[in-house]
Amino acid sequence: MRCEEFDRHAVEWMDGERAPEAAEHFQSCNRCSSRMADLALIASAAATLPELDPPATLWTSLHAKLEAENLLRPRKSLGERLREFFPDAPRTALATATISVLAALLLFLPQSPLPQMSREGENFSGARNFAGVNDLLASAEAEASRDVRLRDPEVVASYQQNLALVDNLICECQRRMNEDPNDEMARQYLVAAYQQKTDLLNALSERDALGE
Amino acid sequence: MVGNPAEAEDLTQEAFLQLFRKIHTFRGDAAFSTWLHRLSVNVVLMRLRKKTLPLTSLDEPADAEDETSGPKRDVGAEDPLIEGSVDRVRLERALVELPPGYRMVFLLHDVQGYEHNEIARIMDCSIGNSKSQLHKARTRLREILQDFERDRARQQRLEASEKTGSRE
Repeated sequence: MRCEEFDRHAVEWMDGERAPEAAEHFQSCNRCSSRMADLALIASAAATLPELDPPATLWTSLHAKLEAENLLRPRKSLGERLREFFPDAPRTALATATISVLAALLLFLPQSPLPQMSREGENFSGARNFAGVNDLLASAEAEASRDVRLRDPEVVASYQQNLALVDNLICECQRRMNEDPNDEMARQYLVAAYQQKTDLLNALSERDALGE
Repeated sequence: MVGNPAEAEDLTQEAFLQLFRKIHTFRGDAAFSTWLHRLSVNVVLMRLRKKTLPLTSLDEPADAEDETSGPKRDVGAEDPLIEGSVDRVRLERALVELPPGYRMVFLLHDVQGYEHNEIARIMDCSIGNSKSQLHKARTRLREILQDFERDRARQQRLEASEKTGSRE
């Protein structure tokens, strides 16, 4: 085999497919063997080249362009996503109850400074207000769960799964607020969790109203 | 790929914009990563076409005469060894001089580790063409690195002669 012929086998050679006649030429030809060695060297050197990450400013600029082109959808709350999951329907008596919960949230949880717990550990007024919200939500939940066996098992499973998640969040926030009544973050999360639970119960009631 | 950080950033941004614009056309026929890579490759190729840089067609037969490679060298002509001269900086410099089509396949295979069947899907070419393009890319890189080596040797000779001249 001549060098020109070996060149035609070079692609396969580099790929590990080595015909006997090409191997014979390779052994005896310094030009072709050093050439293949160089190509292998280039390939191995390339594997060590770093992949570069774009600068953080690029994402800011990209975000702005996406917004300018109206390609970004606003982030939806859990309640909105749940409402999309459950079809729209007229409100029922349960909806009235959940509106009461919302009203209670607005009334009892103003954005004013947090009520202070006394050194003796007395209940502060905010805790009593939260207890009121809890009572309202509990009665709304009892009403929502009344005819649970008549519903689609998939809907019930989804409802119960989401309810468990929200209840866990409420428990965690309440635990943190009991530990530190001035924990503003726990308070905000607790209010958001109540809102989510209200949305969830509301979505289920709307589905019931459709007879689904 | 473009040898220019600012342009690379611009192209990255353009690729993501295209992603958001065209995500609805993704049908799930291929892996999402392949689809995204293909979209990115198209963005780069479109830019390079606009700049009227010579492109290497991936549709050409695997054994077609290579028009984009450097000056032809006779078989048997002296080949400077590149061993010891293939460092990261030189390789990156050499990559900039590589025709874009070759560079794309080389980066996908040898730098990013894609297999030929994946590159074929990304670049919309045959596996044979991907292999052929890769081989040509490596061969062309070797020639460029050899040129660097010749230039370096010439420069050293020049500096040595200047030193000798200044002493006399």
